[in-house]
Amino acid sequence: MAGDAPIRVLVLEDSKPTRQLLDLCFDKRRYALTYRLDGVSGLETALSHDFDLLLLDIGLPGMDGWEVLKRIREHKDEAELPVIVLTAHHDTVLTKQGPLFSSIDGFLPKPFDVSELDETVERVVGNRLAAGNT
Amino acid sequence: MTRKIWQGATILVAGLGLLGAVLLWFELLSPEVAYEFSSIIYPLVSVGAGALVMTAAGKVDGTERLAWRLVGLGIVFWGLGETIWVWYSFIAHVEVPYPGWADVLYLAGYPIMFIGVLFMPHLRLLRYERIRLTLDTVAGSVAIAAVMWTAYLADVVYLDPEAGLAERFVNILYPLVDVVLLIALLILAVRRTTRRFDPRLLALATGILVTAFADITYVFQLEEGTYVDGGPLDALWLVGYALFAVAGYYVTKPPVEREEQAPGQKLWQVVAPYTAVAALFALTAIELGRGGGFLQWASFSVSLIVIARQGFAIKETREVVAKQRDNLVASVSHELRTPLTSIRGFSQLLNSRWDSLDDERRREMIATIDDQSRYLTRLVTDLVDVARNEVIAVELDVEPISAAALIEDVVLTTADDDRATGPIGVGMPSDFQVVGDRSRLKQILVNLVTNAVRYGNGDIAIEAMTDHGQAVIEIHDNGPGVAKKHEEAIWERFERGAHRLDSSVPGSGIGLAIARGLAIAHDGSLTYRRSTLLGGACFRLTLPLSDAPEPAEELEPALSLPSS
Repeated sequence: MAGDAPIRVLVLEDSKPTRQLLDLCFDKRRYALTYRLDGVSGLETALSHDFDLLLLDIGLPGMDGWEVLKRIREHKDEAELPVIVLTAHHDTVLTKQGPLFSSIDGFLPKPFDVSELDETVERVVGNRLAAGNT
Repeated sequence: MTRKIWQGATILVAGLGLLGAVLLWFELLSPEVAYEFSSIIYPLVSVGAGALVMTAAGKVDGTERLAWRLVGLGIVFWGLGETIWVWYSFIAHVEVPYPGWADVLYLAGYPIMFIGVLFMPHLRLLRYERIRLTLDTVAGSVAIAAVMWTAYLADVVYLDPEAGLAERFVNILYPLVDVVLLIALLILAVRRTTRRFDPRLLALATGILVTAFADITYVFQLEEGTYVDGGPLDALWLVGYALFAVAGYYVTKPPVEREEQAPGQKLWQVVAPYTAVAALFALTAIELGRGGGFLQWASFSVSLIVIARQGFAIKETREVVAKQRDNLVASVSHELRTPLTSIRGFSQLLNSRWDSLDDERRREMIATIDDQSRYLTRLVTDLVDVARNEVIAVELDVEPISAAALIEDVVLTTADDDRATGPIGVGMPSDFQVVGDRSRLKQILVNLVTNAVRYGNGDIAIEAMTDHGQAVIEIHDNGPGVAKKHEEAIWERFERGAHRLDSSVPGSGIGLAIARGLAIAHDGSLTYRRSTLLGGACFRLTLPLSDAPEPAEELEPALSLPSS
């Protein structure tokens, strides 16, 4: 079943080079990527459409990533929309975002290894498919 | 009220006060006329000044409004006290009841004004800085109280066995409230603010000083029996009220700000808050021969406070240094990681998937790596420049540049970043030429537009014009703007205004410092104001105009470029 429908990934990232990088990291035969560049329109898209995965940057214009995540979690839990956070702010993340941090499925500090991204995405998507099959 | 009405009202109240003061001080009127004259003019000037300050407070916001309302209310209370007094003695022709409502209102004016002064705007302080400044103020207050007590209060504050309870109370309060005024003055002097030289605060402080001096002299004259109603002393209070009216007028005008120096850099700045303490020690030395036990206790407690204050000052310095270091590390490391992400990611992809990528793709990826490493190089260079504070010394390659072409270039560059903002509106009545280094000017403007994208809410406008022989380029946005208390701090290196604790908003905090440094290197300036156009932030860049002839082609009256 995984081979048929593409895996829908929403990417919230404001930096153009990072978006280009993410675009190259995903195999287009398997993944369908949607991009949003700021927090507000990203939140809107995440709530109004179904996605299998959200790649979330933290430093977004308009509304920051943690705020976006907080509002998403008011409507969609971890089973409905898994989230992987990509961020260049590592230092304060764990201390500041305690309960919110436990609601994410992956955390990739920038600069990340492409292989690490692949593994994390595969793990999260694999879990989701496994859960979907039972 | 319009500006004309404000000016008129101020001139009326302050002018009347000063005219009265001149007439009374130089005793130009006969004693009877002077008495009647002051009976009429006192209620008018005092209530007028108070009402003016209270109304003017409507022109400012937040706690500053509350502060000026309270100061105005205090003055109105004094004025009502004067009015009641005049009513009894001048209109009803009866003995003024003592203590009576006039005294209640008059005495209430002092603490109300004091609280108003406490609410005056000041910079946000660090923890130890706050403790240290509080100790400074307490030490100064103890010293003021002790000096005043020794100098005259001990002689004039006493319990009259004949008097009733209320009268005794009022008798004691009258001399004491001036200690409150002097402490208010001390607070105005010690407080950290960028407005220390603002005319409104200067007028208020001078008004308080004159009033306190008049009050104290009055107490002396009463003791000696030399006070005359409508005599020269009455002139001083009128001067005080006139000064309050002037303060009210300046409240309606934009404040004059001056960058706050880090405290304690010059000797006089360290010594100034302790002038009162020094006076106390001097007085102690003089009085010791007469066995001033009270003074010894005061000096002793002040010494303890000074020691504690020094301890906190050391902690404060450490706190500031640690905070700056943390800010620097957090913001700079974030800024460096973003280009590193692309460099690392693309090189890994090239390495692992070389065969599956076509030539075009590979070339694109290598170009991005090159681009991002250049960006990284510039960041490091800027960082070193700023850390050495050498931005102003950069070498400029100056030439005449068309402002329209420069702005178009900036709009295209920032639009290339395809952010989710609306089109950037450009308002430019006609093109003009500026003198500058093309790449550096672009760097300044790109920085400002990027800020507008980051902190604004989507609407951005660039306005370009010539003004008084200078080129002016303004970048407006519709975001929350810069909070008053951060208006100076945003220019400091590694300072990120309200975002300093909010690591999610990107920025190293060096952009504006560099931009301003570059503007100054161009013999121009970069300043902040609130945008009247879009309601958010407005950064105003001024540059020298070029003498070179205008370019031949006419520019479109207003061009608007979509951002993506």
